[in-house]
Amino acid sequence: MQLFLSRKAASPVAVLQAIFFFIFLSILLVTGIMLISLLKLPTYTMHEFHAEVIAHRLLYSDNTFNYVDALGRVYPGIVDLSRFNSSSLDDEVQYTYDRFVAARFTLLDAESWKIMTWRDERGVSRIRSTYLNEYVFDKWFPLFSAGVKGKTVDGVQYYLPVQYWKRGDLEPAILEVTVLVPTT
Amino acid sequence: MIHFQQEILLDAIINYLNAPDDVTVMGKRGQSNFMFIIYQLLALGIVIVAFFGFVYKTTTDDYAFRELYTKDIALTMELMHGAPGELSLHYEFMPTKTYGIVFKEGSSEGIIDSIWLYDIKNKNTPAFFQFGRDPFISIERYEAERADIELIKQNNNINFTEIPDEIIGIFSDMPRVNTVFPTWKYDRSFCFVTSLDNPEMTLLLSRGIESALRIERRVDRIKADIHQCDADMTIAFNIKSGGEQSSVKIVYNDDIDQKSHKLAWLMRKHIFDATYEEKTFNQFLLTKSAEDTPLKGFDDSNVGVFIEFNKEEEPLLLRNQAILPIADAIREYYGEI
Repeated sequence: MQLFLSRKAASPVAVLQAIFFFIFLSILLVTGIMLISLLKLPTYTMHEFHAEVIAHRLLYSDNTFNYVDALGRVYPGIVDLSRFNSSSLDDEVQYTYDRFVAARFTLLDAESWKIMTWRDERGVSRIRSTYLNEYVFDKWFPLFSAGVKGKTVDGVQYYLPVQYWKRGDLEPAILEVTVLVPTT
Repeated sequence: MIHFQQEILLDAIINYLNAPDDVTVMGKRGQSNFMFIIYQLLALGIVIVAFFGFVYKTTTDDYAFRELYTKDIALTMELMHGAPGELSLHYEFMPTKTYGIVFKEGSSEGIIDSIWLYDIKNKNTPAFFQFGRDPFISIERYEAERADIELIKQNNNINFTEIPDEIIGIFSDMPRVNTVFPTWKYDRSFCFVTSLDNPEMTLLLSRGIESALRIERRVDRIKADIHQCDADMTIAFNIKSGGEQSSVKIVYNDDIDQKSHKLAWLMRKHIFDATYEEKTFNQFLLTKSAEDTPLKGFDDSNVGVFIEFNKEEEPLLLRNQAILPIADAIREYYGEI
């Protein structure tokens, strides 16, 4: 091994040693930052609360699936089935970055708690659900429902007693509310 | 190949250790090495300063507070979007926190859907959060050096206005002391005192408050006196005219458990609520008692508040604007509202 470099070799070696020095220093600093972040968290984790707020926004708004009478009064808790479609929620809440929140509302039968279905104009049976960012929701929901620690998606899921109009009468139903937000 | 690289690195370290020999030469090459070490030291200094800057920011609560406030305002905006009808909301920060605020585009041009909160002294590290936009509701771009704002939703618009100086602080920092007393209407007693030279007005005010409290609640032990008397709560009044500014000054007894402070805070809030639209008063002052204030001589263990109205107006008209807010404050103090 050559212990002493010649004068000509000194310059490129100096560059190399500087690179080595800064790489080593960067690793040291990143490690330090990670250790400090572990000791004191400067961020507030409020994912569940965030999801709860989004759920309330959608549940009480006059632009979603709530029944609105001729005078413009909103009836939260009474579902207007004609507005219970995916586009109504996507019209109500628009994020520039669509991976910010996703939600699903599903109507269940009040007695059996089975998912309600309906037939479209072609006679195909469809689930009575409405989505916000459906594509994102379908990706996130398995992560959320897995319930593992350290998951990248958090949110809320609960059930509310609601009513809906059927042939001029109000019928009872259960609304399954699922709102998901990313944790990263 | 790997062996060769290791050899080069080892050589580099050895050369680095040998470097001082070159420095002493101070020839052209020695000078170059010396400058190289200086540059390295400078770079190291910058990195260390940046590192400790990060540590300082992390260990102080400033960034964390900004992040909390940003998320809170963003979620408030979410709920404002969902709330049917019209509403307005005062959003105030702690008096020690002075932030600038910007409502602006997130990543799409022309769509206001993000909040930026920054330290006025250092605008480089703003906290940021996004809220969901409703295409049927329009939001204007807003930027202010002070983040205490009023959020107004009206006619499918959300606007922001700065809260005037005289209002800031009126709705924040209520003393956190529990004064709820479920059976207060049966065994509480009040004493109304005039500390200066208007006993007739004191009598009128105290009778008015007494009536206001008795409308729904049976309060039997109210006393009106011109001297301090034995009661759960002592409220002193003074109405004067001819001052430069119309003002309400509330002085509270400096008791240990802060009950007087809470009562005074509630009185200021209710008087403000009742008179703000008509702009009856310009100032709403709240101070604790000192040696030269009218509460001197009050029993320190008792709840005591002194209210002074200063306005060039017929005192009888002023009386009507004072009675109901003070009665409401007393009821809220005991947990009735």
